[in-house]
Amino acid sequence: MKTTTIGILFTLLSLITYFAKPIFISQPGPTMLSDVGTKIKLVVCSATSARKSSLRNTELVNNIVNGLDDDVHVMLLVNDRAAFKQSSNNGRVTFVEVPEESDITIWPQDPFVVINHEENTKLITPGLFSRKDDELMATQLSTILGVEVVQSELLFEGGNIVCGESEAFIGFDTLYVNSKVFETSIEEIENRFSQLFGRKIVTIGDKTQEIGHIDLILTPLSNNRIAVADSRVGAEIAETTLSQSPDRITRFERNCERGFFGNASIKALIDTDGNSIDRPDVVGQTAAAIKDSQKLADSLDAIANQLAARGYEVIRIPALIPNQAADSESEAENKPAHAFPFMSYNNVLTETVANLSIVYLPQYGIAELDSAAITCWEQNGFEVRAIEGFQTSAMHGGALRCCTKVLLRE
Amino acid sequence: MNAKRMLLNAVTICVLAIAVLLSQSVLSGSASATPGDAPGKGDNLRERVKILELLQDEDDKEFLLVDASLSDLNARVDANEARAGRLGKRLTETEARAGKMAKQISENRSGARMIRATIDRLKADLRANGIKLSD
Repeated sequence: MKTTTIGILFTLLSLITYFAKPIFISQPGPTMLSDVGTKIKLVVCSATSARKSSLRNTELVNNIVNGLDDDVHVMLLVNDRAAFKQSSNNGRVTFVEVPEESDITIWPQDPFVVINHEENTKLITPGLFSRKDDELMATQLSTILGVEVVQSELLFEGGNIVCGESEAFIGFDTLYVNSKVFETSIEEIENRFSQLFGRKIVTIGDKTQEIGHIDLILTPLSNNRIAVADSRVGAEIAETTLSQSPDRITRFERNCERGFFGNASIKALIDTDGNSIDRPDVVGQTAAAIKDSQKLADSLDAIANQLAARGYEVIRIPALIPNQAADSESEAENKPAHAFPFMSYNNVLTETVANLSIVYLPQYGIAELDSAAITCWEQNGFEVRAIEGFQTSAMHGGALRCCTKVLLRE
Repeated sequence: MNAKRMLLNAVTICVLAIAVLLSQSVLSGSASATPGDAPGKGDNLRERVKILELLQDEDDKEFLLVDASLSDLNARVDANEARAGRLGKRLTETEARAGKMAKQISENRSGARMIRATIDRLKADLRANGIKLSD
């Protein structure tokens, strides 16, 4: 009798547990892949050839691939496969070809966002992405990797979104543009992004952004910490170097010019429309970049204060940021956005492996700034893996995170 | 007595059940906070990466990508520079020739002026001698 009763009760309990589970346990919805997390397993970069692009990044791709851990697999988007020869032991790199007639940039960070949903990975693309043919990146990757591409109605660029452990941060411009397009409030757009990314949304800033993409100035970290660029400190370091070792600064500036087209002897190129793309003048521009950095410092302080008020522990990382006002004009004229590199040490990749925090940090070639950034990250508990050679990509306004999108973590 | 014990058993089991549900709920919450932490059976991307890793050799250490079109471009730049040098030389020669021609033209013009002056003089002499000249 007793056994029967217990049996009945047990069966009853099992049934209750089975049917009541959805009430107590919320199934995880889609969530954006965080910039903070475990070991990086898979990334995507893109390589452009000299005969197809004025921004040739082959050397930089080598630095990135070899700078990341040996067991990180790299999907390499190319639109001119025949132009590239690679070492035979290239098992780490899988070429992903986009049609030859298409034109891609070196920035795979922007045209999609990675979402994990029910143990599957999806690539979410914006409603419209008109920069060259970069919209093809997600579809080509989906073909090779067997992941689903889902087009959202919302407009965004991956570089203006960074994701922490629980919250995603989006630059004001993205929210504002969507609110205008969909004729609704910024709060409503925040809600829509929150549903799309499965994260609470924090809007960075409350007015038109002075820096186009927040991933150049903001790095979410573990344990409720966040790193914000400090262009005041960056300017101070550069100013000291300029006064104490002006020759070294001139050498750096000259290297920027000589490396701009990947070949020191090329001073100008003709684009497909027949317009001339001239090598920018960088020599003598550091002083102007220092002044521009000082002007931007208050805006960056305001962002740091916003995040501190939200309860984040904010750490500051030096940066040297040139004038951003000419960006839109330059883009329209198909010229480099900056004559001077945007020296961001926030545009990084981070991972945690066996309690060791690692940061992959871009380097630009002013030793004092590069070392100050390394020291700053080390003081905040990170093992630094420096990756050289970002001065040319930084002249176009992007660095490591812009060039390298994480698709999968361990 | 029996009914009392049964009730006690039922209450105990219910408490246990709630405890199980709550603990599952807590665990589920932390799992969703860090997506992709645990490899799942149906994870498409993880499966693909496993396959890619199988294709990867253990001695894959240094990756070297070369843009052959940049080398071609170097060759084109060199060729253009050589061509520019040749054109420059030809331009210098042409300039020298042009200079010579200009000098010659100047000399010719000077000669023409002299001839015109001589003709004018001759005409004046003939008129002075009563010879009628047509224009």
